[in-house]
Amino acid sequence: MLDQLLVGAAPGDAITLSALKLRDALRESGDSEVYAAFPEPILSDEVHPLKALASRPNRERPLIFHASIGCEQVHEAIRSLEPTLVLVYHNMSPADSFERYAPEVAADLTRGRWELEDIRERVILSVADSQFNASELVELGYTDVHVIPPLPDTGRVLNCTPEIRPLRRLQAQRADPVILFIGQQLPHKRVDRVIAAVAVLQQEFFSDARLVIAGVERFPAYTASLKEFAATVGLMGDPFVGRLTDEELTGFLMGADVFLTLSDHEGFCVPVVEAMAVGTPVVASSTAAIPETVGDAGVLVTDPDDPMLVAALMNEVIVNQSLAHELRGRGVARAEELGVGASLTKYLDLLDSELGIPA
Amino acid sequence: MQSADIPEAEPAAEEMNDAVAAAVSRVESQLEDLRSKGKLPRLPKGELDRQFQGVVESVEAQLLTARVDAHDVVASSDYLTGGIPDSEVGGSGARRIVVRFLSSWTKFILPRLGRFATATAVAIDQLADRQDHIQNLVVNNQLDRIRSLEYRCAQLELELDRLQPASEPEA
Repeated sequence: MLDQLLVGAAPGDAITLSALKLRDALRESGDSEVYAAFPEPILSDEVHPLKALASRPNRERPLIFHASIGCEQVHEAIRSLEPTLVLVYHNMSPADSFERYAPEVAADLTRGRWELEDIRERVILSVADSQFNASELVELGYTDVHVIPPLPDTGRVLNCTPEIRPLRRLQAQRADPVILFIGQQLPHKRVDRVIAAVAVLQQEFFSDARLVIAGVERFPAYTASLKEFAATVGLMGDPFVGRLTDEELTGFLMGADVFLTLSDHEGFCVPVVEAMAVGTPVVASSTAAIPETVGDAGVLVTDPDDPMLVAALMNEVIVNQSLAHELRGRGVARAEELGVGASLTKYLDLLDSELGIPA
Repeated sequence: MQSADIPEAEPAAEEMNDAVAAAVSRVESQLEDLRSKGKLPRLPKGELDRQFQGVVESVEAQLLTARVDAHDVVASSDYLTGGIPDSEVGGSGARRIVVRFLSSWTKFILPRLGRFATATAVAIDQLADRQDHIQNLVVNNQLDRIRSLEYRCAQLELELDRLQPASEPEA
């Protein structure tokens, strides 16, 4: 069977979850392992370190490489081991938004695109998460790019018992409505837009509205700026709740009145799919790959830099019950279309038809 | 690029008879109407980003987080507000009148002098802090830039080393 290579691996990370789902499916037909340059220790039973790649079980077969950022160690391993590759492109964030907070990450992102060009001759099959990602690969000289959504594990929010105590604590402080943002605190996710929009919602429509920002802090300077910005625009309540368990996340998703994301750049946006899966109405920016992920199942904001417009649209979703009902229904259906089952089948069919590797 | 394998969403979102598209269009129209009548201000293009970048720069310079706590300074000048203790008032009638007058004058003027001195000290302190932080910001920015350039140079040198043997003409 086939092995996979990632740059980093972390619990809850969408790329890691996709790789592990694909590995489980591939293992039904033989050995299949996942390797990463930077695996978190908690995943040591699931993901092997990069140094073990040379002794992987399927050395004579193509290696599935998940690209999301440049990495010298990974690139060196590919150069020295010379495998043929199945490239799965999850998008690389624009480097310029990282320059201020982490120049080394910006350099890795710039390097990543160069690496994609450098390994192009080794790639015998290329897959992108979305049309948006596919067009980036085409710009880098790739042809015949297949578009298959990633494997969003909506089961992690659908098949767990929601932990509602954090939400109840919030509601005990008369928080109503609740606006939820899920994502790492990264510059291109434009959490500042979310904060400004909810501040306007509080000032113009619902004084008791509360924002919940769930996700890990990546750059302390960026998070500190977000906190100061929240104070500057007069946002009521502390929105930062950090990393949540699947149960807590589900509790917030089920209790939220609106899921809001106003990102500048997304290769797919898994949190949107998770929100739609549990029936939370989605308000999202009409940027990058978000429109093709949301489809007609959410409210797309054409000008996410206009906090008044975003607040007015959230207000409409909250007060217009028939609209919210329509969005819930469409969201659940859309999430099912994008679910792991459909994508997994497409991956396995593609490997079979293009490489003659039946799974 | 292959045709999309991603499930295509229905194009209904662009049709006016679609419930979601109609609601969005109505809200956008209402907002535009209010703005055209001057009842709602229009945010200049890029203003939100400018505001946030201003906060980012202030945080980097620690202008917003380094607030001076003047409480201790003010508390230390409390003794000035009491004037001359009454227990020290004594002597002849004329002396008592003069002392009481001085005591009242002291009670009036010294607190004001004290507050002025404290405010001046705090302001000078803040100015000095801000100067320090701005210098730190400039220095840190320069260091970040140098580090990123060094990193890039190292990467390019590495690439050059790899490419050189391949490009050398055969003997």
